[in-house]
Amino acid sequence: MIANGTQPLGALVNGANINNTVLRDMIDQLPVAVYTTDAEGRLTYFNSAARTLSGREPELGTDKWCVTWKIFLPNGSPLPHDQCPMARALQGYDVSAGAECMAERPDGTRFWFMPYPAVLRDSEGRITGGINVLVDITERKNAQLESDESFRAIVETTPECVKIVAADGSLRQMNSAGLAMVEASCAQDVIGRNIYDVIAPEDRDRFREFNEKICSGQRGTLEFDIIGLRGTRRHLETHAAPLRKSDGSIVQLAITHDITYRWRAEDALRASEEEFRGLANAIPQLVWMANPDGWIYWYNDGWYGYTGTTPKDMEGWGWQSVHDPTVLPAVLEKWRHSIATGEPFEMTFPLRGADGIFRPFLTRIVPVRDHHGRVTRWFGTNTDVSPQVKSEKDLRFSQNRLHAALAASATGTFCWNPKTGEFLDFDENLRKLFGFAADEPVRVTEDFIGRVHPEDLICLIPAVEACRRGADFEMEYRVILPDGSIRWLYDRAKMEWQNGQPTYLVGACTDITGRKQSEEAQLRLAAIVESSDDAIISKDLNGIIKSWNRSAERVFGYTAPEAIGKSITILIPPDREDEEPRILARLRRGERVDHFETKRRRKDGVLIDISLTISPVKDSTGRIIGASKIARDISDRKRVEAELVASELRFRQLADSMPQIVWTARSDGQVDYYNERWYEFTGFSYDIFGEKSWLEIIHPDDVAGCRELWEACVGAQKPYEAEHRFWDRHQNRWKWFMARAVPVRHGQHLVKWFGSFIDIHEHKRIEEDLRRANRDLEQFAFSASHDLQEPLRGIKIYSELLEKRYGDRLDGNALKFLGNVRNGASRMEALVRDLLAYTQATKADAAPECVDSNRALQAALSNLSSAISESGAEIKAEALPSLPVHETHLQQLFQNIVGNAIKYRSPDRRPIVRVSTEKQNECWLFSVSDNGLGIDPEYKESIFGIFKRLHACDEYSGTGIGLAICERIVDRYDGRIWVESEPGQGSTFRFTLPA
Amino acid sequence: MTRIRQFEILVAEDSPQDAELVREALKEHSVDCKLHLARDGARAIAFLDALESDSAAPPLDLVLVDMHLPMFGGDEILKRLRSTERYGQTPVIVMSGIRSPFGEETALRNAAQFYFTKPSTLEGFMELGSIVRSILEKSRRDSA
Repeated sequence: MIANGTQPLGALVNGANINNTVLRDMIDQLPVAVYTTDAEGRLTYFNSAARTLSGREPELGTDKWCVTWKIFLPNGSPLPHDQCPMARALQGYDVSAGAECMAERPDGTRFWFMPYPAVLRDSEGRITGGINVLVDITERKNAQLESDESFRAIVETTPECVKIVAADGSLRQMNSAGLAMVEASCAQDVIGRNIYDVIAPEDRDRFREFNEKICSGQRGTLEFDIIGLRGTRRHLETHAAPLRKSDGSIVQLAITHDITYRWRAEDALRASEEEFRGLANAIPQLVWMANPDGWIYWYNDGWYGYTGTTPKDMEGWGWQSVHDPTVLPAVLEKWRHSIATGEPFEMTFPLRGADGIFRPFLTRIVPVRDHHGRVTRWFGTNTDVSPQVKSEKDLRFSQNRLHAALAASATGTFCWNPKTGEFLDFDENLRKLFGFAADEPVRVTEDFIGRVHPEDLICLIPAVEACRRGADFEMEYRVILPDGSIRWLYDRAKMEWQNGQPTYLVGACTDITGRKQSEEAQLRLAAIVESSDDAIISKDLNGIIKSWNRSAERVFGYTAPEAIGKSITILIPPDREDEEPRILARLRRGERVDHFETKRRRKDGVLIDISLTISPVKDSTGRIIGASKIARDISDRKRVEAELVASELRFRQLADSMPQIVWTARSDGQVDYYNERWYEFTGFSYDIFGEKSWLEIIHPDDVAGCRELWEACVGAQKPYEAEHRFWDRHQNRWKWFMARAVPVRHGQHLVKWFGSFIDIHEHKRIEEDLRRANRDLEQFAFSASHDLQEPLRGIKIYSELLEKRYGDRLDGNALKFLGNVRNGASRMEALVRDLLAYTQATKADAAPECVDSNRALQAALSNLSSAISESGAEIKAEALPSLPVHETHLQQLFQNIVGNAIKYRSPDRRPIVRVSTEKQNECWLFSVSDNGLGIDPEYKESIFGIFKRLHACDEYSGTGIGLAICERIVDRYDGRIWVESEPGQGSTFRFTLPA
Repeated sequence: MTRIRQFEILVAEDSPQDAELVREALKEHSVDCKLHLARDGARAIAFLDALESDSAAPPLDLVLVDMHLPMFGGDEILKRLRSTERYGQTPVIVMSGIRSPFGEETALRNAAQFYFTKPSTLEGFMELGSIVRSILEKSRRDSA
């Protein structure tokens, strides 16, 4: 049985009783938990791996199913014992193998496993027992949960909003940073609700569009405003990506940052101010702040508490009422001196408490300066120097107060011993500001200096050294956080003294990164404004000028001090006074005014043309509080424009006086002007230009061709010429026009097209009539010559037949008459043939290719071979050129002229014919000269007329068509033919053909 | 020439004088034949259709057709002839009053045996008889 390794495990365990010791040993050593039960579920066997996994020793024969482990479903709910997988299997249920479960050991630890229960049956199929294999998956499960958990933790702790939004806008998930951003106290406030509800109304459509884009599978970034559940408006920037869910739907996964600070520099500033005041209120001294001119505008609570006064009593110079009148003049004098010189103030003088008792106060007043070194305000403290206040106990007490007060704010506090350099206190807020971990020790000065930006150490180290000697500390410096980011801190510390010795330096520190960033942004902005070439002015809603840059001084002539505080109307000429109220009204509605061209008055009274762009300026709550105005001096541009208008006007007056339709087009081909003739012809209104102006009246068949050609000419900047039909509304028919346009250049640049439409209808009609007449003539001549030849052939052949068959029966006269019939028919046949040749002379439609005129001459001579040999004529031909003329035409020319030379030869001499050519400009001059009879000058024109003959038929044969054919051929190529002759000496026929 | 039967020839010619000259030319060269004369294209095609549908009709040995006929031209008659089963191979001579390279090309493309430009001399015209005779003798030799 054991040897047979292929036996199923069920058979091996023999009815769920593993009684074979070898097998038992083997299963015992399996690293997988295995146990068996009988049919009732009582345990019969339990291997060592099962023991290790379950953490207990079961009682065989008593414990049932799963040895009473506490089992839980993956969702954490407990599973009743008799519902465990093994029990269910033995009850006959189909238990899916490999389901994940969790169980608890007797020692309370838990583990994950997958059971694989199986039922054992005997040969009859009765259940005899069960076997279960348990696979330990605790490690995998823990790793998975840990990964889920750490991911969730990252999402939860990230300072950015992480959210999932469905395609319909409903919010599916959001981390705590997100909940804080939308001001929800818990997830239930917003999850499931529509995210659009918190989007600012003006951004809602954009956000909806954006969400739809993301849910269609694209990524994207969007800036928008939200209004939190508690009403706070924030400016956010979101980076979103589509997230495909298991059901195939796509939702938006977005990471959103609050970038409000970028937009709300003032808010950041105010927040930092608030923090400072919070701090100032919490410290035990009396604290106050004054304008550069000494006007005290703020006291801390300590002041009011000690003096028992109200803000109204104290405003401005009201503080004098709590001073000792005998000391007051000295205080005032010293204070005025400081205001005038900017020097710090230090003095001890008595101040009256609410209880009426004067106590001595050490008063220090320091100027706060901006980066130009100008005093922006005074910061004063009055410290009670009565001996009893100095106890360390009190100091501790006040520090505790401070801690409590500052816990909510991000202000960090410390207490430092200048002698030892040890920190007696370095609170949690300060740790956070410096990026120290909670357990990281910050014990001595060096620990803290280690975080400070190297560039700032140059100032910081001497300041710390000064503190060791008892100085107070006030500084803005940067720290480098462990993640490499940089944070700006504002640190103020006050040295406490005892018995003339410095004891503790107590200080507070706040994060001013936001303010610094906005300051930098403002500095950059200010630089841009100052260096801009445009005048940039801001004004409030009453039109009072609030700022004035350098270009504004240049453009308008007023200096900044002259302009600031004045009404903007100082720039507005009297005839335009109504403009300002209109502009202000638009600004109040939040509208922008773009490129508004108008006139303004300089300080010297000169009116200038300017282009204005005015935008509303809003405060952090979105309220419109003023306007920024960009003014550009466009006087020069206006002058050029005016000159252009004048020149245009001159052109138009000229154009209107022309009889043709004249038009101009922009460089891109859009027609922008027609003269009066156009409006007379079309009846169109004066505001229709561009393509649609001519598309309306052009013949549909001509549209495509004209448009294509016009676009090609505009593209290539080449002159345009086209013939097309326009509808003539007066004559109610289409008329032909010749359109011409030439580009007008200014230097290298094409600036305009100048075009005309000329009525060529009449010309076109005549041309067409002529063409038709010629076609008819050709057709007539062709059919006539064919139809005339048939009967002539009949006459000729039948007269021959008559003579042949009946000649022996005819007398001499009859035979002579018959001969006359035949001669007449032959002559008529020649006439018809030549007439056909004459009409065909210009018929060749296809453009000729270049032909070799030597070849054409040889062909002609070969046709004349019998006449040549009969007369003994000598033909002398030079090498002739190739030229673009139909070969048949060239051959006909040579044949007729050389033929004539031989025919009209002198009876006294052997005929000599010379053929030569000469290049003349763009054509070839052919000359055919002979030594024949010559032609009387009287006839040298008429010989080219049709049917013109100078001799009787019986002297010289011929139809009188030959030279007419020659003239017609030469005409066709725009050439010329003429004869030069001396009667009795010979003639020279000359003709020109294109090269 | 051993005569088995008279040649059957269709002459499609609208001019009676030319038809008479064709007859004279055949006689001149002793072509023993029966001439069927059609005076226009429609009649020539009708004649061919009639022959085609009558199996008892005699074979056609030659067709002489003028290029320029009323109703249907010589080229159309030629095309019609070439589309019949029986006369697909029958020799054809196309005649024309004028020399036309285009007409000649068309005729020869449609398998005409000869393009005959009608001459204006008796002697020239009589040549037609000799041409007919040699074509008929050749086709008789080929089919024998």
